[in-house]
Amino acid sequence: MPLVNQEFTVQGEAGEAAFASLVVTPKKWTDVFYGDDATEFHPSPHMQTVGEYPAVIKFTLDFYKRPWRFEFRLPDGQTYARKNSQSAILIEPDTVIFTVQYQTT
Amino acid sequence: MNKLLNVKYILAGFLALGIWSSLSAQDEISPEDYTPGVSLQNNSGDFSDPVTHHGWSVSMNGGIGLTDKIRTFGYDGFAISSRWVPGSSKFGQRIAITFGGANWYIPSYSKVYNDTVLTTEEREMESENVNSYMAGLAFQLLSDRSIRVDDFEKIARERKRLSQEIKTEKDDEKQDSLSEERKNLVWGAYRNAMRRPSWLVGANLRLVSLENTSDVDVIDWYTVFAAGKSTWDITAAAHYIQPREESLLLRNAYTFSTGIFIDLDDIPPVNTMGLSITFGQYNFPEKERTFLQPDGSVKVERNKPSAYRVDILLQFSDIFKGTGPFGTSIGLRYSLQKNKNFEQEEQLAVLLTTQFINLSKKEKEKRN
Repeated sequence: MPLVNQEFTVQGEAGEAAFASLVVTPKKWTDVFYGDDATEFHPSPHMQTVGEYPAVIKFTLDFYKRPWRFEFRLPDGQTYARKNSQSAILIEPDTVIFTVQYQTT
Repeated sequence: MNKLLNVKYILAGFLALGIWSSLSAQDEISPEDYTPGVSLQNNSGDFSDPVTHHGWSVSMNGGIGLTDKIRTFGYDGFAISSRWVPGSSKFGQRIAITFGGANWYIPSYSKVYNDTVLTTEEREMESENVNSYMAGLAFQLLSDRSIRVDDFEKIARERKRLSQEIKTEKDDEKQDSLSEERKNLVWGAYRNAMRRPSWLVGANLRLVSLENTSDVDVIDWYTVFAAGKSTWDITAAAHYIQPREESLLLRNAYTFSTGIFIDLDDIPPVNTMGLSITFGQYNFPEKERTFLQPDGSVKVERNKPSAYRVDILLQFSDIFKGTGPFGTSIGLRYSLQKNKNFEQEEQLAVLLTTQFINLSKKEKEKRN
């Protein structure tokens, strides 16, 4: 059961590259996937191309260890961050899902 | 009076730590909420858990039906012990400082020696059951059995494959089955880490103050080995107890224990069953008494007794975890003791243990 199911909308020109940056902690205890076919995604503080406008990209984060924290940032400065401050090693991950709508202007 | 105090301490202690443990428990399934079977003591107050974590832990054990009719010396009754691993370096985290206290029991002369060597006063003396203190050092020679990020990374490929399938699977039933498979995979990797061979050597100085007779400060040298695979684990331990100075009350003791611990569940919450057998030889100093015979000759009676004791302990851990004063384990102990001056005797006791582990901040960060 996902803990978060948040949607973002960001505007851009058709055919323009869609960017995102994602920082997770603890990185080595977290698996990140994106897209409908759940492709592996490597978190980085730098902007990464995740497709081109228009697109709907779903990110899934599986945290196997608490405390955890993530920060998702879009090129327009929009930021979304969440955390869990408890302490535990998990055998069933805390799953966070959020969807980004890259809409054309 | 002493016994009344002990009962009060036992109840207050179990209540306090039990509530503390239940408050600190997570709702989510976590191996840190799992008590490895080997952390159960082979016997009451033996202070030799082979598992060490950087940080500290507190264990308490007590029981019902202890100390009656016992013809051996040692800790029995109620014990509280702490282990602190202050170092965070590779070497430093292998050193553990232990400290605690317990009821130290020394049997009366009449429970140990042949009646012929005792004076009237000695025959009337009672067994001593006093509160005593303990401090010591232990050194971890092999693994500390903690879960590291390497254990998690070993299963990365398989874990990510299952996660991808879970996320793309539309059928709820198949998704649940894949989730269960992933949970087993992750838990299996963590459990293997907790089964690594572990070897601890240490010594505890026990300060026993017997107000009415003398002080008996003893050194307890010990070594504990643990290793396991899958759902089972084994331990072997040896203790050598000797007084720091020559004593009129005890000479020395050797105990050897072995235990087997089996997980009764495949994934957490895991109940563990443990069966331990301890053999102990307790040696007492020689005592002699001289009698002047009517014909003027002198007759000397000597007695240098040893008591042998076998404890069989069946324990269950985690059954009461998070339920408050019941603590983390319950055990049934059957003891058989033999001293050649007396008939063989049996004893049954119920042991209760509660444990609280707090990993240090550095240990948590290191595991990241």
